[in-house]
Amino acid sequence: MKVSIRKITRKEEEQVVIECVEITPEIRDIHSYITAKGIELSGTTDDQHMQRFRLEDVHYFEAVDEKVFAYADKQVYEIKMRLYEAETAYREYHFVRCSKSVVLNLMKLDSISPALNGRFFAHMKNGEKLLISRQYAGAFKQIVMGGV
Amino acid sequence: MKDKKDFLAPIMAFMVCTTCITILEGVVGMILYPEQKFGYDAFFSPPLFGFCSVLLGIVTYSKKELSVKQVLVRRGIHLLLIEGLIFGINYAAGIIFEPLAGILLAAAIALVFVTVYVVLWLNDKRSAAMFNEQLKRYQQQILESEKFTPY
Repeated sequence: MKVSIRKITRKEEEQVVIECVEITPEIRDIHSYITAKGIELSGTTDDQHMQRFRLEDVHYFEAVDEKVFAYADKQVYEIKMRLYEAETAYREYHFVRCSKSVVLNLMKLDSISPALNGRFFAHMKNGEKLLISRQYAGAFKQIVMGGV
Repeated sequence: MKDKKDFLAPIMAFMVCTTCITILEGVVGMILYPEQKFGYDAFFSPPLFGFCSVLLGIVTYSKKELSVKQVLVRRGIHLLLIEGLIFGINYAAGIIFEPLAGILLAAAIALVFVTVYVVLWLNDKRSAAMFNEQLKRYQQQILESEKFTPY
């Protein structure tokens, strides 16, 4: 398979085009790799600068009052999206609702531990501790455990 | 959506409670009233007390997410209700405890109460450990499936 890269000047025009005779599992692999890696969001930082950041760098989304924040590796961004929209849009990228106000990235989750009253703590890879509420704990665990 | 844990936790609490009460009644009875003999009906008292205790656990239930402080306060109320229930039933049956026996019984009830929650917590810990093990596999699988497949 030939691979070619063409440099362009405008960021918003970046795209990947796959030309193939048939959609094989390998093509699907490439597609899922690109779609998972390629998603970029834009958000406002504390100092009111609009920035783009990668979805895979987001540890979790949190709704505070009427605002939704994305907590990435090094920065917190306010995004123009409702929490349920983020939950639905990024479900296939391993984002799961863990409480009324938080949707977390399973790929950034290090472990869980029991808390009081049937709830659990989610220990994120960046050291943060989030609460998995009783209401969402069952469905949350089901995603990872599947039929186990 | 109702989680099956909402149904299993009270059943488990009932089982642990009944077991602990049986042991408690045996130990406290041997210490305080070694000469006392009972009929077969005495076998029903541990599950009855266990059932009533779990039923009183309704005070810890809330549709809203409770804070740690609220959970602890509600558990305190739950314990007081259980203490009241047991002393109340004994009082109604004409049994009045001497101060030392009363304190011992109250402490024993508190011990059973704590034991039940410790067992439930240990069960959650076990389920968290299983989840963590599976989480590593899940993440590994995702990373492998997202790897670029070379030709």
